[in-house]
Amino acid sequence: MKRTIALQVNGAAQEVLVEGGRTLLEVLREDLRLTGTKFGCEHGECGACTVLVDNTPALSCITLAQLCDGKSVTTVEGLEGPVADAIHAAFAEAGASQCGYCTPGFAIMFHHLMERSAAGETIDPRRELSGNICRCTGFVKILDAYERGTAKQRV
Amino acid sequence: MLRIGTFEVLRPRSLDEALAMRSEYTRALWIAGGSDLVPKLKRAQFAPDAVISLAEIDGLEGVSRRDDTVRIGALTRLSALERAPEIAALTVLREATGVIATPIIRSMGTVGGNLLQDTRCRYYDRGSFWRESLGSCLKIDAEVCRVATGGNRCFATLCSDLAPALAVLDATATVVGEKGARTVRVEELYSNDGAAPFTLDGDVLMHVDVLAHERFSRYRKFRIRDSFDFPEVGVAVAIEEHKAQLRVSVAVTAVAPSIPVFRENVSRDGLSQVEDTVYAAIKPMDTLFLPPAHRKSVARNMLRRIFDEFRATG
Amino acid sequence: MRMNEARPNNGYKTIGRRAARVEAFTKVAGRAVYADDVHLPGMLYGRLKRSTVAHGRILSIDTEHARALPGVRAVITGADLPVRYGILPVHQDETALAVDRVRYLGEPVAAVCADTEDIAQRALDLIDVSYSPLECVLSVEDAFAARVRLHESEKFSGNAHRVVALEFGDVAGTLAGCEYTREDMFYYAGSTHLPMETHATVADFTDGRLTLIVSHQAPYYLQRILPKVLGIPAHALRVVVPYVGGGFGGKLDPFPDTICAGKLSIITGRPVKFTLSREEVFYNHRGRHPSLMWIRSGWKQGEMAAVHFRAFLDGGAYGSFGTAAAYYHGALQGTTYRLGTYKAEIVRFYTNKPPCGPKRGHGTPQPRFALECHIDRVAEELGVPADELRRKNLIAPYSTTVNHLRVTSCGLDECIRRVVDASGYHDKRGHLPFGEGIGLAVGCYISGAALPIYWNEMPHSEVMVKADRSGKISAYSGHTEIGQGADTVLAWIVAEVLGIEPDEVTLVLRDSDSVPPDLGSYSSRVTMMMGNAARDAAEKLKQCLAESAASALSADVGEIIFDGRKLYAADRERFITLEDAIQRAEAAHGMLSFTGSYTPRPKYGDFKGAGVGPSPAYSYSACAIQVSVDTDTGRVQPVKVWIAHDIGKCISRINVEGQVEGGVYMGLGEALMEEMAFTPAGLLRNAGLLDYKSPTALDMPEIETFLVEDPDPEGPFGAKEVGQGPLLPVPPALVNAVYDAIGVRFDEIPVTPDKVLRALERRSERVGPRRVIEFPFPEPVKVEVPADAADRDV
Repeated sequence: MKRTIALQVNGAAQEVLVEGGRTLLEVLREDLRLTGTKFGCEHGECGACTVLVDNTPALSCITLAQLCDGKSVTTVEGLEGPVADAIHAAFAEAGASQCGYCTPGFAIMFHHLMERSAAGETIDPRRELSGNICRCTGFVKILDAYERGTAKQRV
Repeated sequence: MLRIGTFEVLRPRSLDEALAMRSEYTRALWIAGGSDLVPKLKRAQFAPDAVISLAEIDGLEGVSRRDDTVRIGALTRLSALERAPEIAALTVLREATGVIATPIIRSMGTVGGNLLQDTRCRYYDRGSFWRESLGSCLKIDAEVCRVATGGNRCFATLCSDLAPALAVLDATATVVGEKGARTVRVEELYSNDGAAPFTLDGDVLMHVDVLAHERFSRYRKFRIRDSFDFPEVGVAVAIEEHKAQLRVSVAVTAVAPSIPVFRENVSRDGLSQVEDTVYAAIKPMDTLFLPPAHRKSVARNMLRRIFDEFRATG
Repeated sequence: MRMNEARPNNGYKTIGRRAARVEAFTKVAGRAVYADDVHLPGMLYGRLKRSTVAHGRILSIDTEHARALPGVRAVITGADLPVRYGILPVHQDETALAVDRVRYLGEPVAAVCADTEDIAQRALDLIDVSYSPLECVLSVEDAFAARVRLHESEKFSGNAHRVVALEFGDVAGTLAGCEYTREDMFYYAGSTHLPMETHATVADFTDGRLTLIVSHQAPYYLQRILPKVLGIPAHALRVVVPYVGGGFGGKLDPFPDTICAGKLSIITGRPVKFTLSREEVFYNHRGRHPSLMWIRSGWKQGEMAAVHFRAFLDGGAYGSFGTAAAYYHGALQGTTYRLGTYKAEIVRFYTNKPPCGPKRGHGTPQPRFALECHIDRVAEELGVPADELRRKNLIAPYSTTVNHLRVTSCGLDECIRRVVDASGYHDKRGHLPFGEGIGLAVGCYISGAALPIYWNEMPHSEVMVKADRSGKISAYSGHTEIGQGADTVLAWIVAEVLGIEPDEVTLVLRDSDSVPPDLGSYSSRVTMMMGNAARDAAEKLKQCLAESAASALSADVGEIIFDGRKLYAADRERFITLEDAIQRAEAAHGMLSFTGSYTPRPKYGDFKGAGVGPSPAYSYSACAIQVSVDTDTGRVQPVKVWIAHDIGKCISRINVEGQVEGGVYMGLGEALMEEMAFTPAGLLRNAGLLDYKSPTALDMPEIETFLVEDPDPEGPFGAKEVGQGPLLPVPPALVNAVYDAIGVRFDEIPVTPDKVLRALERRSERVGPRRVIEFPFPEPVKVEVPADAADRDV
């Protein structure tokens, strides 16, 4: 059944009328036209659609939009500030994007992990990034980008 | 993109409100993290008239310790459990939590959701086009099982990683329904009927209690890939030693609609008999990715390896 | 002495740099636009109704209820799109929607478009199709034995789609005189590309013109084929390709979703979008052919005197690129090794499965697997280290192969040496503890197919470079960016020639209304062909500007140095700016626009089938893999991969490394876990990302990459391909390592844990096929071994 939900998306207040079965990914891509978030598998099996919901990673393709009412959502378009700058530079320097389709999901995870790392947690990037599939890179340059990103963050 | 049919989405603030809501609908489903349910909604394995979220009910989330008992709220995120200091000494539980699905799914999914995930089958976890082509099965709405054709029993398989880990720790689960709360052993949550796998009858799992004392325990999960994949088979072991006598608990996941649990009192020399007992008793069916005979062999080999580790601890 | 254009990295400002690709920020910031990201006003949404049987006659299709659903704008069936097509001119056997008969489960039978995706999805359920089932064949053995014929018009019996029989020299006679012969059988499973982006098309028909915005690797072929299928003139079709979210060969054919989008837009007069679900991508398929293979070789004094190779390809329901895949199965054995004589007999069968086609390596990873595993066994029986046996038999640089292919540069010897040394192969092979092992293999691939799909003598790539009075340099090209880094190659080559920075080159790309033709991203042809065309165009602009500067500086044209937007005289003191040079030239000549073209012209044989295999240059790779086998579970864990690739010359270093690493990834996936698996009814079991296993970050070993740079005279700045070749040695190196670890020869892939554990429990010595098909191959086309075969430094 339709309900109007209120979301804080990348810092901006949004109200959207959605059906019960509508996913957060559909709302982001179709209602809000934030097409940076990608759909790869539709079933939570690839990580391309990863966003932050209340600062926690979530697969937007299997997140019901109505359950996000009142929450904040960060998409790849909303990554700003020094951590985002470090991620962008690290990805470019390492050559971590090839086709680029999985990249937004990785960028979101980088942001999440680098914030945890900055808060003092020890991060095993290979393990923590194992929920995102990339068909192009073999993950080598993505893991390199993570190291570069955290090095920039420490500076 | 694949679309999900519509239904009412409800967000009760209390258990009473939740149970009352549920009684208003004929096909209501609980939702916690959604990582098990929503893909199934996309594949039209369920067609609920309402989805009731447990996420905003107070008191269901978090890990705490009182005296010798660790209490794990059913709505605790798997990522939070993984990092909870209260379970640091419970090796089997920590290991099992850390290998569930993927880091992102662990940050969405909950303890209750992992324990009460739907049973899985290679003929059931498919989309509507598959069913249109092949036909449905016992677990949905047909009279036929695609795994054991001719049988009338559903073998859809419980693939929870947490259930065997908690079972060998003798954990109990507290559930609440219209008739009030009750506490059962974790393995008693399961009916062993793949088509209707839980004994809950719509009740809500509130929390799991486990004794916090240290003991030897391990979880070994076998799958094709080290992330994403459900267990093709998983073995949990806990061993407590009193003088020369061992109390050995073994639980195996992904071999049945429930979790077979074995509790044996043996000497150190008797460990190999436990291997034989477990190997003889488990009967995986062709419900998952790899063939049953292989999964059965792997279960025995992993169990032996855990026992070897125990022996090496002196 | 051969002509090297330059020593590696010497004197280049941009070429060979380790620097970011041109669209790096756009992609990481989520700003790159892919086909499904496009939204046009008034757009409708399309969906395909697919066959629920693998083989059957269509008795009826009732679309009445679907048409009546509010919001549905049009419904079409095979009767609306009857024109047959196929990517290869020799096989026009497909229709966008099945006509009368379906040949695989998942084949589209009807299409709808509606106001929303939800309505379109519901409309599919209201379309009623009834079938009369036919016998379903799912393997090459079934196809050969079956009474039913999938395509009644085919000239071959036994559901054979294409038969190849070629013999170079007298193989039987040579084998009879060999000191040592050996034969083996192999099976290479079918796998799919699995690009992260699903296929998507937005079609927009307005003012009599149709625009297709499509996720595709070869838009020029759509430009060529679709006017015929859609019944519109070629000039009325515009094909635009945004960023493509991965291809690997899976977005090369004209697909039903694209054609139906176009047709429905023409019918409704509204934009129509089709985006496939993940499941549907598996039905478009066109992936790796499952291949059953047999090989017999004969040796004299450690040299390969004769090779006789047979292959039986499971092609799926339609032709697609299958003829090329069949020929490629036999084409590249000779580009790595000096074969005394060679015979190839190959048959591709039709089966009731989604059609196979070109996946990374197109038809060559399977025979490479067979040959490299076979050689590993020969080396063991002859008591020679596997690297030595290979090196002794390597093709010489600048020589002709047994099947008349012209090899230019060849860095394979160096590649083998690098991985053998780095991996400690000799110390490890045969000496690691049980359960651990190391294996070696090599591979080779074309840098672009020398012949186009449609026979003609026109260039394969054309690029225009334009300069205008603002100082802006623009490059126009029709190549596609599928992740391989082609945009970077274009910008860097133009920048190198003109002495400017890559980000000072404006790229105008992939819109058939404004860019010249490029045949597409396939056969590893883009760097070689677009790169040469870009260099050609940029050099012409450079010459014009040099003349302008020479005149202004009273200097010789030949002495002008282009560096950082300044054009210097030889003294390095007098200069004019690039803007000044452009303005002077524009004043003198008018608009400054220069075109470059590239047409490959390699020498190759004069026999039927000689057109598959020739390339301007061949890339080479060698790979060593160390594995650890878990004898409790049967799981094989690659521990480390050493891979050396002969790239000729790196244009963009991180892109080259990225392609090597990506090739290793895909090769490991095929070797260990990826496989298209079907039920007996022809239903794909694993049409999703959980069940079709693609390795995760945790499954990947460390990869150490070595780039061997020996510039090739044919490539731009000496560059050769890297997109496909590095995959080839990975599967055989892996199974050769498994043998070293546990003593079991895996003559089939994937090497899944159940096969490994069963082999250990039963103490099997090998796992693999035990028989091939007694197919009546015709008398082969007999070709003389070229007189100059294997001569060095010709």
